[in-house]
Amino acid sequence: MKIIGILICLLLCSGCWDMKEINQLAIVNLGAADKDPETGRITAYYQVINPSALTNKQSGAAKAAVYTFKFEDFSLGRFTRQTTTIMPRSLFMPHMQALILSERYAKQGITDMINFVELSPDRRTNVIFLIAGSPIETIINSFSPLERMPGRYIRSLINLSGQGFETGYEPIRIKDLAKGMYRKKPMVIPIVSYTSSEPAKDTNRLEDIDIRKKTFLFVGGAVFRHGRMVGRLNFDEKQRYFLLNKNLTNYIETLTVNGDYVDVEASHIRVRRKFNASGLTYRIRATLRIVNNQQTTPVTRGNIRDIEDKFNRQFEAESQAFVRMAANKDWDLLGIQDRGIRDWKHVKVTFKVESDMSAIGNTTGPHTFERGN
Amino acid sequence: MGIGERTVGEIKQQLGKSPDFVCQSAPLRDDDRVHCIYLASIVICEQIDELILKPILEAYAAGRNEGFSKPAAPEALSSLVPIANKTIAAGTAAAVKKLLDGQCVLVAEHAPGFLSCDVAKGDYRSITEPKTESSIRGPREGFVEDIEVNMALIRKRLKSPNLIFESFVIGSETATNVCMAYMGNIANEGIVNEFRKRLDAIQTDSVLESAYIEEWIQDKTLSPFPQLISTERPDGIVAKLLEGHVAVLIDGTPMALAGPITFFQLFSSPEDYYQRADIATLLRWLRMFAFVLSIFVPSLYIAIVSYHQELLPTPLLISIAAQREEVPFPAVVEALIMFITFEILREAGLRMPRIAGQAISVVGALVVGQAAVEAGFVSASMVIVVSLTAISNYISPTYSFGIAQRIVQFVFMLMAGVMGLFGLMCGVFMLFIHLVSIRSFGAHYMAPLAPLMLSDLKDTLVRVPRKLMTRLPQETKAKKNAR
Repeated sequence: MKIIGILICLLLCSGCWDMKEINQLAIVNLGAADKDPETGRITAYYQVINPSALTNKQSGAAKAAVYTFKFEDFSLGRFTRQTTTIMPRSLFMPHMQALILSERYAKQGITDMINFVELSPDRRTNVIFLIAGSPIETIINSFSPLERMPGRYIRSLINLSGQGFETGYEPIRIKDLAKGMYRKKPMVIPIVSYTSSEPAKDTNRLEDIDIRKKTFLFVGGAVFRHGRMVGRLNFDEKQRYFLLNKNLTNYIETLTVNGDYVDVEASHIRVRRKFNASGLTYRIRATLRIVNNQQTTPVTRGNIRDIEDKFNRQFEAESQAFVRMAANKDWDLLGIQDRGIRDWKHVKVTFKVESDMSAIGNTTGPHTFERGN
Repeated sequence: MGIGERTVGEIKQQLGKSPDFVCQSAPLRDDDRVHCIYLASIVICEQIDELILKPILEAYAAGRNEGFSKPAAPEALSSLVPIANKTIAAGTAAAVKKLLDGQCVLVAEHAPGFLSCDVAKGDYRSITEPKTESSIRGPREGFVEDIEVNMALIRKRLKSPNLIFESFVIGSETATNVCMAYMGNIANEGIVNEFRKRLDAIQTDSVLESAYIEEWIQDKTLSPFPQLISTERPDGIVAKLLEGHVAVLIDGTPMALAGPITFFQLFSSPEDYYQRADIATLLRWLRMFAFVLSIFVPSLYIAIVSYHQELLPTPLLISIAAQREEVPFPAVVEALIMFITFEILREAGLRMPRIAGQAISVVGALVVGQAAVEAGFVSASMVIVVSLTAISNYISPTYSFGIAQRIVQFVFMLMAGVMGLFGLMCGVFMLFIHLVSIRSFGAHYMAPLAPLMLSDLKDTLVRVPRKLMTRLPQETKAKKNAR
């Protein structure tokens, strides 16, 4: 009986050893890392949530919703231990929204980081991955407006931009990177930048109405080949990359029709790729909707056909320009090599675009008062 | 000294010279007398005077008695007494029993045996609405403490010659009347025999409430779950009888027992059958959901807050973390403090004089709710968890099932507190093992899910319209299938 009693007590105690109360945790909302190419030393930043500042009731409490902890060491595995030297709570990573790496770290290769994240059972591999377009210390030490946690701010931006994607999100999670690392096709990861050279270090920044002065900004994408950053794409190139690789199904294109601007939203974009003797053929179908029409003439059936033709031609032209840019930079952005074609640069890529206008807005004829007078 | 006087002396001796023992000796003629004995506290004295003594004395005075020339005998006396419920018997012990049943015993001076006449007081409360099982739609009558009234309430609803009552007297001291009821053409013989056997086997000095009987005849003693339905609604008992169950009525209590039962019957209420099938089904689901809430909400809260914070969405995690910033106790201790305090308040609310109830409610609400949160002893989320759980506990139609829920809930809380979700899962498995191991008079407690009885599901997980309920439940192994 005594032995059974002791065993039960031991069983219960072994359970309690694992206990970590919620208020003993340093909940990391945003992580960042930089690696010195000369020394190889890694600087890790943990942006930890201050829960009491995030509740409305405790007005007397500290206003800062997050605090950034900075550590430096030569190996990634040593940081958890190092945090105990300064952090009064245990590091809790599962709620990390995003991981930002400096550009110089990315250029040295991020395989070590992917391995580290994938190895740890309590780290989530659906954390999104970003590259810093500004000094990483500026980004990680800045408060954000509207969303009081910068991690959540960045995540919300990414979620919004992911609405046009077929899967509902941009394929930029660490697990997407791990999967794409083995392909010849480079991956494109968003670059997050900061609009000011000075970080918004204190909460007084939240009193400033001009958001653009100091805020996060997405500027194009970083091209990764086999886990190493090899270059940059601008916003339009990044969009074209995702369109031609069947990830993006919705975007807005500006056309010039009869000398005036017409903005159309292309949705339900279906991309079919076919390799044949003459090369690679893309068949693209899209549904169009006019979102802005500056033409002075009413929209007629002929005009709709003009818009559709213009869209088809422009899409083709921009895509061809994208293919040429990729070949010049030696980036197989269409993933032709993954189909077993080594001489991918000489594969002729043709685009056949078809579009249908489905909606032209509430009015067919524009208001022309100013021009008429 | 005649036989009668000796018998009276012996009876008086056996009753311990009780102060309410009355013996009136009435002279008949010459030296012949009749002794009229009774316990004044439990009989109607006027009836003894008017219906027993007066006719006898008048008959003897007028010389109309058939045995006028012979000494008075019980048979002769019986013909003079205009009371329907009367018996002639012999023996001191039998006489004592009759006296204790509220009967008047007439002992003739020179003849053996005695005549007993029923003049018992019927001082019972009137039939009122059941307090523990009130209903919106449906009969308002509830059982009372008198077994005969209760039998009448059943008979009134079930005018069938197949309704059988079997009587038992249980308790060496209390000699309580217990009555087993079943439908002869529906109830399974085996189940009826098992009830009979278990009731016969009860060896106890007293039966004061149905719980005494329930504990004696239930299958598994070490289980928090009720294995017999206890109800004070006659309509509920009649419904059970019609499905082939056996009911047990106990004198002195308004609670009747019925069995065998299954776990899922604890979620159904007689009212389910008095309203539309769809509404009844939704309400049944609500009760099942409340059961799940009451046993899992506190334990899940503890497990997640103490061990598995990664399961929470980030905004909720931050909200809970902010609330728990100043709380000095681990979640499991906090939960135990709150639940024990709540149980104390609930128990105090039940026991205390009604006039003080309001004061306790105010103190309870302020102390357990507002003040505890403001003082930082407990978090607001814990108060929500406790309130939700407490309300969910009360939704059970069977009170004893609500208590079982509370016990399971405490066990789960402790297991979640020491081992997190792993502990909770262990608890769930143990609960399932326990539930499938229970039998109620041979019926599987988890039927119709384990073992699966598809046709019984129509009145378990859902309540199908009455037109579709053409068959009796298989679990009661009724003699007939169709309703």
